[in-house]
Amino acid sequence: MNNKKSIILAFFFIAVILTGISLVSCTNQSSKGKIIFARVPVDNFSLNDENICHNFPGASLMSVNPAESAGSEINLTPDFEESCCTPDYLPGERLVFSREMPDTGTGPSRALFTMNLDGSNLQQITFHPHINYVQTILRDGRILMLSKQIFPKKGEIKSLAIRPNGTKAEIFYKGIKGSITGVRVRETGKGLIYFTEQDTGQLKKRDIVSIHQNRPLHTKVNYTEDIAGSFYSVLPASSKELLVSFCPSGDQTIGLYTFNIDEKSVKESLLSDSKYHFIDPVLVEPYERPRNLPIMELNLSYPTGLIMCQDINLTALTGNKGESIPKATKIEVLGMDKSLGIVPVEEDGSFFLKVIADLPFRIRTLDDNNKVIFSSSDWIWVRPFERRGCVGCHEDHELAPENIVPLAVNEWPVLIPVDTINSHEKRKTFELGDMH
Amino acid sequence: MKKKGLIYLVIVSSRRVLPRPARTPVKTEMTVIDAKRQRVKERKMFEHAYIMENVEFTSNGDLAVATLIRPKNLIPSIQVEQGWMMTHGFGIIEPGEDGRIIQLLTDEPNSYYSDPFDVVITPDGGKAFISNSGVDIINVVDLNKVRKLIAESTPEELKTYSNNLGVSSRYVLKRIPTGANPKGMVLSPDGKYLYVAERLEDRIAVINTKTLETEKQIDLDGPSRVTMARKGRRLFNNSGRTFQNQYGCYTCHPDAAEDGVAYNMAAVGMGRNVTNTQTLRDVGDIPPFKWNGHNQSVYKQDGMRFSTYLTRTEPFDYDELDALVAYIVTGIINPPNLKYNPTGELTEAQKRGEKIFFRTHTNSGKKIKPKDRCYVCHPPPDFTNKNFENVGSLSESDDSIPFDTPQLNNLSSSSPFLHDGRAQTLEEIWTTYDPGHRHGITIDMTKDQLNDLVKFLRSIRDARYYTKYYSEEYEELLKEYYSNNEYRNLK
Repeated sequence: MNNKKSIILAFFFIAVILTGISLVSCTNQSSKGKIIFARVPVDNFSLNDENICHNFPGASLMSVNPAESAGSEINLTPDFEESCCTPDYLPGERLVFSREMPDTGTGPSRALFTMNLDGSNLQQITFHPHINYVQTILRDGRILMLSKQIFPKKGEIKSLAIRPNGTKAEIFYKGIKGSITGVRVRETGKGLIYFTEQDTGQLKKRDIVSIHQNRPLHTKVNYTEDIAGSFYSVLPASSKELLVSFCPSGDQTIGLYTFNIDEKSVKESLLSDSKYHFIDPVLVEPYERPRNLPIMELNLSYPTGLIMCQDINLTALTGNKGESIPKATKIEVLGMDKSLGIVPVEEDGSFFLKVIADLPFRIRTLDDNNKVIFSSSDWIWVRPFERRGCVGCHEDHELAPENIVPLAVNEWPVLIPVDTINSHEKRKTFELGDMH
Repeated sequence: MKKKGLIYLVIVSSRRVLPRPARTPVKTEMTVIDAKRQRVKERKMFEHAYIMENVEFTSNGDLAVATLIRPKNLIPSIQVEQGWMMTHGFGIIEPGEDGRIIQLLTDEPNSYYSDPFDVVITPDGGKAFISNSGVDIINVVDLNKVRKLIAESTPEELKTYSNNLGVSSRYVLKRIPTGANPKGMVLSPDGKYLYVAERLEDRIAVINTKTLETEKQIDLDGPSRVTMARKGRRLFNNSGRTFQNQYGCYTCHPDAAEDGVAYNMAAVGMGRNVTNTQTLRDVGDIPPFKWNGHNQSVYKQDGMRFSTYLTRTEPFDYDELDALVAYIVTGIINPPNLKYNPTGELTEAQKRGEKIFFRTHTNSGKKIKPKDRCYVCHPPPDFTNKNFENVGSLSESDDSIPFDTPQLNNLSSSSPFLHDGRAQTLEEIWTTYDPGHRHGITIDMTKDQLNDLVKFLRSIRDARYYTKYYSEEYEELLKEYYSNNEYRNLK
């Protein structure tokens, strides 16, 4: 009897396993060739030329398999009433996209989310009060996103690079003050990244620019500043040629053209029509898949993450008229609407914090008398179980750390917010600031 | 080598870091030798730099260029971004006793050029070529721009440049791709062509030094079939499987040995569990791996966690992992122990040390408990029993765990010692870092006896010399302690 039971149980388990394998392989096969797109209600669709980032209310992400019959579209974001757009494929059978967030008093923001290709396993990966759009997936596996701070005040548009699990967000590119960078960018096999940018002060003049992935903050080249007309999208077609959407003048429509990189000139007109604009060309050709970065660094059941700074007094900023900058001895951690604590730093300027995960915060430096030396940094967050480091506050982003043991890591980290401190971690004098 | 008046100077670059207190930055000595008098003339120090493979003078001797790596082993290894683990570049040495040492990087903020090996300079002193063997690239450095940069910069600025990932755009002219693992280079006598040994391609690349283009590749007729182990060797020597190519297996394990520094691996928290790099030579038969022994196989060691916490990019695929494991477990043997035991014939002092290693009684005749005898935990041929032991070396910043007993083959070239590299010499293991006398019984030894023991330890060679038979004198002792089966397993 026992043997019979065992055999039946064994068959049952084998059947379950085989069914599972079959489902997994079906899922993988069915994802090939799918098209993911944003569906926008007709009434909500309008192209405002002053905004490079279009916010279509009510947009949903849809999936369709062209091989299947009509009407097979699947809504991947049925639970979101807010707009979802700029989807991009992530290696590892995932999607990343931008979602409009419910307004919690900070203004309209957008966060990035990732999910499986069938809409399951949804995860938010950005947590700061910014408007974020997906730009592309870099070949090194990171997501490049267009990001603009909206709280406490509006900031400049920047491109940030972030790992697909939401860790290690860092600035990648920013234009001159007031410039607007195009949402969609393209990286070539040689590491050049092309996009459109409006930085000349002329409202309807967008140029083609490139930066190099290896050193994006300092390698910008403008190819079209001397060309009249405006460029709406750009796609590298070869090492010498770009495919561009170009509007020669205000009374003409946007057409598809070739563009010679060396000569910096618009060449052949491929397609134009007085009744239509042609934008966002895509070349149908295989490309090198970006790296599939590991996501296991995180432990989503963990409530906190760690951040360590090597020296808060190491800064790329300078004092007024060359004055020396006073030495900071404390930091204040600022939350969305309150101070999360003031923490003394070590003699070498290092600090080590354990911060509630996915909580946006900024850091400003203080002297002995709690006088602000440098105002707040950009918004930061740490993911559950993330460990993150920075060289300094307002640091030069091209500076690697000095090889020394930061004194702060010789002690336990300070828990932020400090009012959650327990006796074990209370080894120094901490205080809550007053958001002065 | 440089001609300066009648004195010939030889600058010897060094791969190994100098002994230093634990948890302090690495530094490497460049020795200037007066070749005529055959005396050391000067010792120039490269702070924060190591694995300096080669050095070359300009023809007029106004400066020398040496390759170097700047490791970040003291910082918690919590990310790769922003040069957090390794940076690579070159050192500029100005001649004369007051000559400055300047370090510059060839890396960029999102792209790294690992494992610089050789450097050659064109006859006009205008260009330096650096072979970056980990990324299959020859970096071309405009030395005139370097001279200008040095002349225009303050000492403070120059110090900052040694950590600046953006400054290379001011002097790197071109990055020329090559075949696998470019190492040694030589210029044609007229300086028109650069010959590059593509070591793991069995090929020599010929680069035009004016156009900076590869004109041809001379095939050396190596094996046409790339074996699994050879593929693994290429992977081992290449940094392409680390985020932004910042480092490869080879970087911390040069020539499959170890780089001689301890890393803050930050497995939990950030300041805990500092670990000394271990050799990968002849480790195939001695699992487990890592000091904590958590990995029972090389497959696990180089698998998913390896990519999550160390390389931080896409893991090796199965074929690559097979190849890498094949190389590590079959392809790496210890070189001959030429310095301390070239023939296998021990010196008298080494024999006395061997006797102490295998002793069962103290000087006063008291029987030593088996667990306190050297040979019990470190039996030949690998000189490890592959078990976990606590020899009292745990520090406050270590998790409370026993460590995997390390093998002792070719120990002489494996400094520093102990799990966190705190002992710079073998003597220090017992004179300084064994206060509880838990690392065997040595308290009764005379100074001479300890010296003899250390001399024997330095004489230990690759395991293959001890596999069949150790010695008549001690074979029975080993069998006596271990049952026959266990003893066979040790072998």
